Amino acid sequence: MQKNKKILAVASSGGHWIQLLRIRSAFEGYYVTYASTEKSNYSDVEGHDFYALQDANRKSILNFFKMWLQIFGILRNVKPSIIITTGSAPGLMTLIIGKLFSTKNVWIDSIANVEKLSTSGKIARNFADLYLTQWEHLAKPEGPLYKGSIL
Amino acid sequence: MKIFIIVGSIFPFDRLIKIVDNWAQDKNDMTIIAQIGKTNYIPQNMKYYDKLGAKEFNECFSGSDLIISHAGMGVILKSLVEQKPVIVFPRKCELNEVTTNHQIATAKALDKLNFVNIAMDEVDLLCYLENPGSIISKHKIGEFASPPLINTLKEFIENN
Repeated sequence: MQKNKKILAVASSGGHWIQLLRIRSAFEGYYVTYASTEKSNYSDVEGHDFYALQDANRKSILNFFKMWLQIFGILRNVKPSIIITTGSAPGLMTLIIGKLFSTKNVWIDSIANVEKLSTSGKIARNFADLYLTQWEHLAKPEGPLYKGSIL
Repeated sequence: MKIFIIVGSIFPFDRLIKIVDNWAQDKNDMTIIAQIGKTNYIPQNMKYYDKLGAKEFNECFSGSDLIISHAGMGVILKSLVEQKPVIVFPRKCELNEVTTNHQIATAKALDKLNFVNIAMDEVDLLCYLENPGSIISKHKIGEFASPPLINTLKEFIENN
């Protein structure tokens, strides 16, 4: 029955993506779909379903809108029950839109945020069912929690 | 000796590229490849690309003896997994190289753990480059995250 559970794992290319790859062993036995902002990242997850996302930052409203539509489409096609992200704007967007589909969401704030949570990470608090930081000194009882890191 | 310089593929980091480019002027025994991002600066003493595809990037990475990088976690993690000697040179916010000073914070945190070689400025970097062959990989990590994090995620997936 568990095997039917679908996971969508999302992160922008670069550091966030590498961190996402490091938690893959938690997905074993489940049907996983990956999404990232760089097509060639597919080579890291060959054999799994993969979607290339429009990259977006706060400066481009149009790209943001395109990304929103793409993510909506992916969620409608894949119908995941769980979304996991290691941060980044596309990760946050996916968690937010995922809530329209009643997904259970995991936010792991990037290990690069040593002194404070990322801007996306602060917003993610409202859309994450498991809300994690990778630095013990940033953890709080009400979240984010510290449960180890990708190191 | 083969050196691979990585500054990400989005924002340029000319300060780092220029330092190594100047240093490399009379170093005929060095093969230097760099991924420099979108920039107008044209390096003279290295082979450079705006952006490498994942496959080419991995090939350059594996084939190098030394990595010089901005303080991006992707490169740092890859170096730790592959046990590549790496010099980490963080971007600075006040020089408009990045929008926040998180790279400095990352570099300091990793220095505290003694995981990588950190060069905070040009002096530090040139000091390392005086004897590039002696730079070692300081730490190794496995292919996957630490068990507590993996177990937390497994449990969450199982229960939801």
